Amino acid sequence: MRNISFPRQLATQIALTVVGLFVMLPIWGMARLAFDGSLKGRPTEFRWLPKVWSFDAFMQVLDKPYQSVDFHVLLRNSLLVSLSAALIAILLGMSLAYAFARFRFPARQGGLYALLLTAVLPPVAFMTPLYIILSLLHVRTTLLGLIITYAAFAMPFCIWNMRAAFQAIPKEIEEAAFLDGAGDITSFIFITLPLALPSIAVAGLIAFLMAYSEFTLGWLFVEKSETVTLAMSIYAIVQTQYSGGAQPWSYLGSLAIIMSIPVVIIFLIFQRTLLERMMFGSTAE
Amino acid sequence: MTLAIKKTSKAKIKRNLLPYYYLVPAFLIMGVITFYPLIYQLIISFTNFETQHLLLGLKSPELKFVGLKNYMDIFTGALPVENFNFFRVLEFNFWWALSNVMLHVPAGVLIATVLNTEGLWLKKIYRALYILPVVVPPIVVATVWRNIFDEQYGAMNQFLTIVTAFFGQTDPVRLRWLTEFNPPIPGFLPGAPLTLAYYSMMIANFWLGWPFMSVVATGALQSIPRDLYEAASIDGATGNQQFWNITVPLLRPAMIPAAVYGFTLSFNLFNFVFFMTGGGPARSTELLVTFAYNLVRNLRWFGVAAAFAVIIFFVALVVLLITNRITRATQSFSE
Repeated sequence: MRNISFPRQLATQIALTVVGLFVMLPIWGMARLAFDGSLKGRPTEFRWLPKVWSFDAFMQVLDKPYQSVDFHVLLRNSLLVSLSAALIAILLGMSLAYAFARFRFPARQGGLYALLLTAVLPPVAFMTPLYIILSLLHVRTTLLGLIITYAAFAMPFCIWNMRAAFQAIPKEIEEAAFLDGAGDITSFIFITLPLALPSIAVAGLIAFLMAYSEFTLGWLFVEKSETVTLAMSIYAIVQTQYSGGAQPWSYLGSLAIIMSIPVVIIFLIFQRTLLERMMFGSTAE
Repeated sequence: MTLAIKKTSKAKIKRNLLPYYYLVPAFLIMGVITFYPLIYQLIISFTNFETQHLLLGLKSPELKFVGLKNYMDIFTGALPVENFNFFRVLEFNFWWALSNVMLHVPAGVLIATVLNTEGLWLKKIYRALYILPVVVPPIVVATVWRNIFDEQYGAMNQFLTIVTAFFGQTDPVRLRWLTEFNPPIPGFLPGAPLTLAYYSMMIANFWLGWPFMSVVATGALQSIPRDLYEAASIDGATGNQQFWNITVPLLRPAMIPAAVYGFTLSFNLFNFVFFMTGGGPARSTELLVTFAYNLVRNLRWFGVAAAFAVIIFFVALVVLLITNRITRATQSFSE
């Protein structure tokens, strides 16, 4: 396409800025709450900028955001749970995705359908039996229970994404390596894996995000304050506020901003890869 | 395998078993967390499972089988829950997901196409900005949207007040976005009233949904070969013609799976509904998932909730079969 003319450039810029403002609106609202030191509870008037600028809410949140739980405990739990869940989902999912991409075996189609179905089902629909089985395994109130649960729910999407990537790699490359004397595992690690890495990274990122912001199941399972995650604590704060709690909404805003920072940074770093790979491997050539 | 070397029968068996070694670890975890609960739900959906069974020894709760009663209660609306009508919720849920995707996909494609224009300034900044809704945890945003639609101090009513003041209206706008029951356009969707809360949730979910579609579309756009456009413009095709005859058909393979994914995301959109409206007013924005959550969390009717989950399962199955027809997603490229 040719370069665009100046009037069109200007019109496009204006339109894109309006879209940008729409995108920023809720984020701006959140930041305004976070920095407003004058809030006693709910915000009772509309403003674009904080009435009294203050970092108190941030300080409070970085210390003890929810009841008496330390911030670093919440952050540690969140990161531990979401990183482990992502890792498990990728490692186990990778082996499964590879088998679906490379082998022909009975029940292959059926397995694919089962996978897709679990990707479509909402985790909320599993609440009761999950509660029971995790209790029986004695992991319901632990971080391990959360890790397994989140990993299992992230897995279908990860498998789907990685299977497409594996399929896009020509089988001939692997066969060439095989003829040169490389075993199954060697050729997978040195040939297939590096080629599929971008998709694997995306799958891991999505799994991380799912676990990082999940709270419904977690809140149902949790009993001790040591195993609460950031997402759950936000949920808890919201719940107490809607039922007339006295905490200023600044806490909610600042905790929300703090919680978003790690994810935003990761996404900005990975943006290039994401733009190229977030296509569910529907290799659109 | 394609390497046609003669093998002993033992090696052949080993070869045939090989795929299953790869499958076992993942299916083990998914078996415990997803497949087992599914079967369990099916069993307890025929019983009167309640809180007491959960608390008294989890190992062998003495359940009474009640046959299809739970299902009948749900379908006939016999549950002692106000304003509940299963088929209205189902219809609303389908309409909700469909109307969302029909907005998100064109908007995402449009903005991705605009951002793909050569020589446009500040592209990188826009792309970084527009990815924010995908990134910020939805739980956070849902509460902010609730504030925006607040009757008294919400940004939406303030904005409308400014706009109407411009046209000579002096009274401040006080639309009850999330609580007004009377639908603004009566009879728009027969059988399920679309309240103002529906429209506010549409706006909020639009914010959440289109950037993802735009990301997918950008990825697909960048894989369309340049020379196609060059050839088209040599042949005298206008920008419009190029868009409809090159861009749109070549985006289709990437956008359809994304649209299906977006459909299921909206279909099961728990966070926004739960935080913005809680399913209200009068359950007009209730989705299947939020209702199932209510049954367990607040009412603690596990048997009924299980029946509900089984119904959700079959609804998901139907959605899957339909969308799979469209995308042929399970078909692999080599077949």
